[in-house]
Order: sequence, then structure tokens, then C-alpha cells
Amino acid sequence: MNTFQFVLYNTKLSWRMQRNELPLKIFIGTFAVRIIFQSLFFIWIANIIGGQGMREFAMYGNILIPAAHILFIDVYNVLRDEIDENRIDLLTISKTSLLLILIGRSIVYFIKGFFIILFTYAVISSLLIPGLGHWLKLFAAIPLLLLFSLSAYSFGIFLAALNLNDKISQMLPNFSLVFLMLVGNFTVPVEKLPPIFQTLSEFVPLRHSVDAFRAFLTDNIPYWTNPDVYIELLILTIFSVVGYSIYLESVNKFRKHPA
Amino acid sequence: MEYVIKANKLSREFNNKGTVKKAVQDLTFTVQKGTIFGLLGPNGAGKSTTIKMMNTLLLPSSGELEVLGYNIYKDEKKIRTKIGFLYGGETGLYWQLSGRDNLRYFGSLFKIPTDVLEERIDYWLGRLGLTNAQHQLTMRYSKGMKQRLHIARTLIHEPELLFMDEPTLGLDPEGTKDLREIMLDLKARGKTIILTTHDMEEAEELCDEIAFIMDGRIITKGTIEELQEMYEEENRYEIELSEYPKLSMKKMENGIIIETPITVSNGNTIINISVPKTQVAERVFGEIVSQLVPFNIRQLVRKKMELRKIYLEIVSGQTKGNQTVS
Repeated sequence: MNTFQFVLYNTKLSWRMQRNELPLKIFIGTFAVRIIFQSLFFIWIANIIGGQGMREFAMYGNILIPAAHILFIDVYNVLRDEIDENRIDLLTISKTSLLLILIGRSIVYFIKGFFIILFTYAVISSLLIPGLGHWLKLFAAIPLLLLFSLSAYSFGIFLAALNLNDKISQMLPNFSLVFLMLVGNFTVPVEKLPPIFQTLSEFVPLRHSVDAFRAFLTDNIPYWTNPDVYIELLILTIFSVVGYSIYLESVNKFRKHPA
Repeated sequence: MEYVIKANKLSREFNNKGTVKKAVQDLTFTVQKGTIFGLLGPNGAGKSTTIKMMNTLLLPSSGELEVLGYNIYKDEKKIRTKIGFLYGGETGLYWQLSGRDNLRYFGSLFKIPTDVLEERIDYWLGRLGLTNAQHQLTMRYSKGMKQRLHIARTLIHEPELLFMDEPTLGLDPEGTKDLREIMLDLKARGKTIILTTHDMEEAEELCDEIAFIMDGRIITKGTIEELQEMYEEENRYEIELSEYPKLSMKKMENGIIIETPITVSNGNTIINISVPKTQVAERVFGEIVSQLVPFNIRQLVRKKMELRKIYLEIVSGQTKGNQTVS
């Protein structure tokens, strides 16, 4: 089995893993219902805070929440086993092979996350935002979505790599999601938050994804001519590289050096 | 004699918030190829730390360690491809995959050619009674089934040296029996097994050599027979007679203890006699046996000290020792 076959084989298994975690139709159905109720709730909050402008603000950011959920909570659940301190088998393969497996898995998650984003956006834009009608733009946003996927994935990896005890580990992604919803620039503009939260939000990949996504969807100019989008893409790339590096290091971290 | 493990003055310390704890201290031992080596001791004795140093997951603080002829400081990658580590528990398997897919995944990590891997998977699923459940998701497996899958995962790449940390935990009696047979079979095929268990009966049945660890030190080691010889303060005999002995036998003579005869279901009588290891006591025991000859001795068996008793003696001895020191 050469490296290519090995990665392909593991990507196939990753797809099965992901499919079995939650079957696709249940997954789509659950999140479709969730996104509609979530959107109505956020619009209600946005209306209280700031009226019509806030409503659209909430709408665009909100699209990414279910995808973020998939990407870093599910990724976390799967990778928890791979951070297990007893996994000698993972230490037998090269870091390159391990990285290739991760990229294969990222693609699996991306495909799933991408369709969810597309689906929810199509539903929302057609039902709740009359006249928006440019959801086909999403196809052009594949690089942005891929980076969003990789950075969210790296956040899941980071949580798994913390390797805290089981109960704390299981609660952490859910708490993180609440935190990310607060500082992710979804519902409340980050400028309206206390300074400490504004600073923290800079270290949250989801916030940069939301900013890039919002700039891409709302601006009339093509996104590839918008320098703000490029800055956000660069930040997302850095988050992805850091997340992956943490994972690769954490696999070997249990071979502790003498005290 | 070929050794798969050579440990010399092996120590491991852990630094916890400025306090240095010595988990393992000056362990020196060897493990012979093709044997089952038992590492026994109470919880927290240092067994897991020792195993993790041998399987390259932990570096020693000091000392020398060779595994399968490789130095653990330099050749850890070579060692890892030739060893298997069965640790059981809730982690280490992908619950979202079927039993078969789990084995495919772990096999692929060891780069086993696909056709060979499929054959091995069929073999181990069959051998461990998981063939019918091979396509079920692992999350639906019972605890015993998961443990069987853990065993298959550990053996899929045919390691030369196996570390088994309480392998029968969670298995039903049939599964336990199967696993013990597998371990003996592996041994017959020249594989070496390092076993930790709290089941003394299991250790007694399987292990060729045993090391008892307490507080990070090896207290004693040897074959079962050597340990029995070392810890038995007296010889215990069981004598089966066809007739009930109508004799008045003196108890406690020269330290000999004769228990009250018991009539068993086949009508025979059994007498248990403990004899101190002295020449006088052995001579007196000979006289007692000659007195019993008229009652038709059906069987005279020297009963060996059970490993469980040796273990308890070591643990209580060590505790007493510690109390004296403190």
C-alpha cells in the first residue's frame, strides 16, 4: 500500500466515520430546522438591538453557525481517539502521512459542511430575504469555505489536543460554541462588545470567517478585489497551519522527556 | 538465551508542581523471547509506567533499556512497528466505524498489503467470535465485544512483542478462556507477552516468569516454582484415604499441623497436613504417613502455595516493612 493508496483509503474510512456519526439526511434535516428557528431568534434579538441593519447583520453570520458546529464539535469527537496517549500505531507513520490523512479528513468535512452552508443559505435567502437571490455566488466562494472549514477543523483539533479529562473534554466544545457565538460577530457587532471580548474575538477563527463571508455576500464589488477579504483569508490560513501543527506535535507529546 | 527486554537501573520520575515523584526506581530485569512475563503489583505500583517505557511512550529519567535488541532512545520507530499494546477501556477504537473497518484502519497504519490485511481480519474476527458482528458499528458492541475487538486490533500486524494490560477485563468466562488460549498459542509461535493483571489465577496459569512491583521497585521475581520455594514456609500435603483413620494423631508436633479429616462425596477421607521445612519435621511426617498406610492411601499430593497467597504475603510484608521504617 503506497502513500497515495493509504491516504485515499483513510479518507474513505473518514467519510464512513462522518456518515455514521450522523447520517446525512438526518443531519441536514436537523440543521435546517435548527437554522430556521435560530435565525428567527437572532432576528428578534437584532431587531431589539438595532433594527433593519442589524437584522441582515445577524442573518449573514448566522449561516455559518451549523457549519461551525459540524466542523469543530464533530472533528473534536473523532480526533479525541487520535490524541489518545496510548496510540503507538499513530507513532509508526510519518508526520507527512499523518498530515495527509488529516487533509483527507478535512476534505470530507468540508464537503459536508459546504453542502450544509449552501442548503441553509438557499433556504434563508429564498424564504426570509426577498430579493437577495444571489446564492449562486456561494459556488464562487469555495476557497473561502474551504479555509473556513480548515480553520474550524483546526479549532476542533486544538480542543482535542488539550486532552483534558473525559467529562471536561466533552463539555468544552459546547461551551466553546456559546463563547464563539458571543464573540464571533454573528448576532451582535463585535464593536458593541466590551474591549476584552473584542480582543478575544481576534483569536477566534470563526469571527474572521464570518467577516470574510459577510464582506463577500454583502459587498457589491467582486470579493477578489476586496483587500479586507484577503486579510481575513490570510488570518484563516494562519489559524489552520497553527491548528494542524498543534495536532501533529500533540500526537508525539506523550513521549515525555525526563523530568 | 535470547532476550527481548533488557532493563538496567531503569528509573522514571514525574515532576508535579515542583514535587518530584519517583514512579519507578532502579528496575533491572530481562525478559526471555517466547515467554509470558507477568508484571504484578497493586494499583499505583509503577506497572503502567514500566510498560510505557518499554513500549516507547515514555522516556526513562535514567537507566538503560533495550527492546527487541533496539535502544529505546534511538530506535523508537523500529520498536513501534514490532510491538502491540492492548490497553482496553473506552478509547482506542472508532465507535463510528464497524468492527471490520476499525481493523482495516489500524491495519492500514501498519501498511499491511490490502489482501493480506483482509485475510488477517477474517482470521481474527473468526477466532474472537466477532464474524457475525463485523459490520455492526462499534458503538453498538457490548463491553466484552469491544475488548475482543481491542485484542484483534493489537494482533492485526502480528507484533513480535505484546504488552497486555489487564486483557481479560470485561470479558465473560468464555472470552477469558479463549484469550488465554490465544496467548498460549502466540507464545507457542515464539511471540513474547508482557502481561499485567490483578487476576492471580490468570498469572499462575499463563506466566513463565513473574516480577512483583511495589512503590516503583521490583520486590521479587522468578518462575512460579522459584517464588513458591521462596515464600513457602512449610510444605502442605493432601492425603486421600479409602478409610477413615481411627488413630489419635498428635497435632502441632514439631510445628506440624494436621487438620481434622474430612469425608468427601466419594466416601474417601482427606487429611491436610502442613509440615515445616526442617529435617526433623520431615522425618516426623514420614512416620505419620507410615501410620496412615493401613487406611489405604489413595493419593498423596504436595500442594503448592497459590500465587494469590504469595502476592498477599508480599503486599502485607511490604506494608509492614514500610510501617517499621516510618
